[in-house]
Amino acid sequence: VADRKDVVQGTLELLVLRIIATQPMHGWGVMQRLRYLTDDIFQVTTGSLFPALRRLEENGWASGYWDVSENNRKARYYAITKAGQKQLAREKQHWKSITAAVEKVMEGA
Amino acid sequence: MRRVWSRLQAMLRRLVGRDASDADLSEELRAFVEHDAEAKIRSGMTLEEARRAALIELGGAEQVKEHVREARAGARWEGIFRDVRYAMRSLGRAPGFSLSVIGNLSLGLAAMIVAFAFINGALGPSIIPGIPDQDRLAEIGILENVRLGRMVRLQAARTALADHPDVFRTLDEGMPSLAGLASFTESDVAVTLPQPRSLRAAFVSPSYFDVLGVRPEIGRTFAPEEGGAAAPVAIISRALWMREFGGDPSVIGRPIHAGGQQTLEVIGVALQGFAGTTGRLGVDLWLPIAFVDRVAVDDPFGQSGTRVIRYVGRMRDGVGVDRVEAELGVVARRLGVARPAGRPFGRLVASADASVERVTVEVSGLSRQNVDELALMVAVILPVPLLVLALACVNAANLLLVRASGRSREVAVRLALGASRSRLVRQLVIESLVLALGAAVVALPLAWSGVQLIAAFVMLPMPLDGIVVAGALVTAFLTALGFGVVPALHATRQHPSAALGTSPAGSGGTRAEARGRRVLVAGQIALSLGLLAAAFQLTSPLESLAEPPGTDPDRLLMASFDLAQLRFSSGESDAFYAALLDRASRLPGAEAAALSSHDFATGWNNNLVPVDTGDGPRDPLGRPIGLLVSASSAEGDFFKVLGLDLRQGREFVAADRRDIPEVAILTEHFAAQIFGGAALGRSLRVSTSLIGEAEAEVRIVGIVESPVERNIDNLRGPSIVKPSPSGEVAAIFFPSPLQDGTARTLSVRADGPAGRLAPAIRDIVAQIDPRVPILELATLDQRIPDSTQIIRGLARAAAVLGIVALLLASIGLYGVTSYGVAMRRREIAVRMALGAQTDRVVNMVLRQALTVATIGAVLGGLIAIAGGVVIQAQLFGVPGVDVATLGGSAALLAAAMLLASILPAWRAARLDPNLVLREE
Repeated sequence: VADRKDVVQGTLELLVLRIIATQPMHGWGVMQRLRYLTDDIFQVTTGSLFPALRRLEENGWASGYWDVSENNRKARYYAITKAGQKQLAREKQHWKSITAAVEKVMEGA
Repeated sequence: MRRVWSRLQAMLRRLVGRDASDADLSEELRAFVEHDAEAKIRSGMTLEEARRAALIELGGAEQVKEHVREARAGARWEGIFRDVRYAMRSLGRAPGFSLSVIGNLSLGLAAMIVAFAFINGALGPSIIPGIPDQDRLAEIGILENVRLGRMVRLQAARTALADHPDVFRTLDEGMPSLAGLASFTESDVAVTLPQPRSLRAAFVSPSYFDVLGVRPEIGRTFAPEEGGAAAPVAIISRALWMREFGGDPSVIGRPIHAGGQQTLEVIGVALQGFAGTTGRLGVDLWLPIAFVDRVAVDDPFGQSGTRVIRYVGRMRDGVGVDRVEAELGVVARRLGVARPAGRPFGRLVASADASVERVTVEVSGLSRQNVDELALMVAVILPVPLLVLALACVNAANLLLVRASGRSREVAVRLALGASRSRLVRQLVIESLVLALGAAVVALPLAWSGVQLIAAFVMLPMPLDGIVVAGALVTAFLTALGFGVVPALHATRQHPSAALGTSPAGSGGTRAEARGRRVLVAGQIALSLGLLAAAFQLTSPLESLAEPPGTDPDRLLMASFDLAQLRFSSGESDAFYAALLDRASRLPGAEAAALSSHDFATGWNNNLVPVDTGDGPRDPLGRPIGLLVSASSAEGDFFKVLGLDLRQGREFVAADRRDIPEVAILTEHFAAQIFGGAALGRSLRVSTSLIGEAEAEVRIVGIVESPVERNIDNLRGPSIVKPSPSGEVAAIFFPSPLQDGTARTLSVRADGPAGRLAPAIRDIVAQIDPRVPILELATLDQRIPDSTQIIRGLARAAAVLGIVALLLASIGLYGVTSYGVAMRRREIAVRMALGAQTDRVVNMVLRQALTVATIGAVLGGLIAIAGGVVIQAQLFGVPGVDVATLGGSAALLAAAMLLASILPAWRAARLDPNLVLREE
């Protein structure tokens, strides 16, 4: 477990938003996708994933709806909204500038 | 904008359909587990394993829900509402606990509210009833230096009545910042309505009602031309109208007679509530100022034809007091008033060598109070309610700790279920807030009755207005934080496994803390015993104070008169009193009758006159300082009426009466103090006027038994002849009044209850002169002296404080003992399981409680004895603390303490060892 990292504070919402931007997804799917994309490095607990999903919904960046999943089960799906896309673009920009800055320090020093 | 909208929608959705959303979340989490389990089955797990693994992955549905709930918008408020509801429910399930905390806190809060009301009344603007916009009124004072013995004091100057119109015009014309100026002076006046009455009257300029903004209830106020003596008109108060005329509107136009000779026509009734500008001496009658020298009593301290005339102006809008000050400074020079530079406000210090003349002017509010003095009072009084509140908080904290230790399991379960510590602390603090709010609700009526009790005593308005209520709520809030946060942190500090696994006693605090709590309780017990003893001590002498021994106060009827209110000459008044004495002494049922210039029912030491014995104390310049002793005329059978025996010499005879007395009779105590008993035949000098240096030399012709008066010992100073330890008064009597006063008190000794002679006395007075009002007509025992009132007030205050302290101490001991039992539950259960009997358990708990109580009681006994010595030294005639006083208070205390500790002991004895030990 030592090589698994907690998701950097505040970035979880950005990551979830990025994942559901590709296609609407339910909670379990988001979790699996996150693990897959980060090669199991980012470990997200349900205790932080579900609140994050609800926060996205409340902020109007995602909208939740009930649907039937690929294996014929009822599941709550989350889809990105227009406002969510804008927010994602903003956050992406922000993230890029931060990582670029951190990179500079790390390489240059 | 859309974000806000969708947020709002989400919030509304949740507030309306909270449960639906919760169910939604459960559904979602179930779907998650199923997805997860299915994926795991696909990777080769069995169904059972997969489900278990999926549930572990989820990490507890309730915990996730809790996280989600906390993440919601508006969740905080919703949570607080829920916590309040929860707190009310859980407090309702523990009524004993809730009531003791609320009762305890409400005492502390009530004490604080009373203090707030006092401060509000003392420092806030004092409101005189009936006068609108008082803050726009400015009083213009003309002050002078007055020599009083060796002191020179600054006080209101006396103006010659003849000068008044000039002064008024100069002030009025020279001060354009005032929209109007009024002048007034007050006096008691005898009025025939046609019933004879003595009323407080104000003699006012025609502008008076307009400047003060007081309108008539019926009729009209003074017209501008009604300032002179040509207009004999009067306005009466609404209270007088209701009292004497039954509210009959036909009073307008009716004639009344005032000051013996003057006839006036009633033109109006002032609006309800208005009773003059002082707010204390209620004015019932207003007359044009020109009638002062025909109706009012002459100022006894001023030269004839002069009196204190007060000026009040209403400032124009936008004008400040400083403008008025500046204008007054200019006008003052025109009035011939020198105005020293320096402090324009407050008390001006006059130098001792200044001559007696008008020296300065000042501007002040109509009802200026001495702020320094009141601030000092506040500083002295405030620690008491603060102490009560602090004790109440400590007690409440103790009770909360007891409760917390009983709920440690509940807290542990909730922590284990995923509630965060901050949430639990918040919930416990909210519980404290609910308790504090409940206490505030109880405290307000409690404080109201306390205010009623005190306001009358301190003669100060103590408004319980919005500010005070707000202050009370803020205090309640702060106290809730004060007593609630520490126990809440204590209760939630434990690790869940500790409470669930081993012992429920995880929130104990250290031994030092426990000892600290016990010391505090012992202190409370000591304080309450001290206060109770003081209350007993002050109450016991009240009976003997009210009844001076040897006088049979119910057989003594007293009627007082002041013929100056009818402007009688001394000849006229002598004739009236001679007739009165003659007819009163011949009344059937009367044993003896007497007249005296001093009304001794107000206390002997109320009328002190300087007497120079020739070898008395002297000031640094070698001039004799008069000894101050009680003085009165003793006319008729005075000593028989009072039951005082003649010891040496003779009584007065008719031939002794002179304008200036030449002989005197001393009381035994005075004679013994000053002349070593050998006073007969010696002479001394007495001053015969209130002002000036007039003196008379009198020869001592008799010595009488001393009247006895137990009193508050407020007599201090080298020149005062103090009463003897048993209350014998030093007094000097003259055959006729020392100053040619027109006031007398008639005393009649009856052969039975004297009250039944009252109608006959009233008849006699009406027959001699129907215009003469009787100022007071009562038996001596109906006229409890003021000093007794003060002691009664102190006794009541001590009793109230003592009972409050006792209640607090009881709740404190109850809290600490219960806490001790809660901490030792396991130990007690083990003992019982090992065969300890119930009575041994009760004994064990009681012993610990009563040890604390005993230490407190011993300390309290010491406080009571020390306090008793102080009280005895301060209040004359109050006995020291005796066995009965201490015993009585201690018995009361013991009963309360036993009650407070027997409950927890009984609860300890009822513990079921099986149940307790199974909890472990």
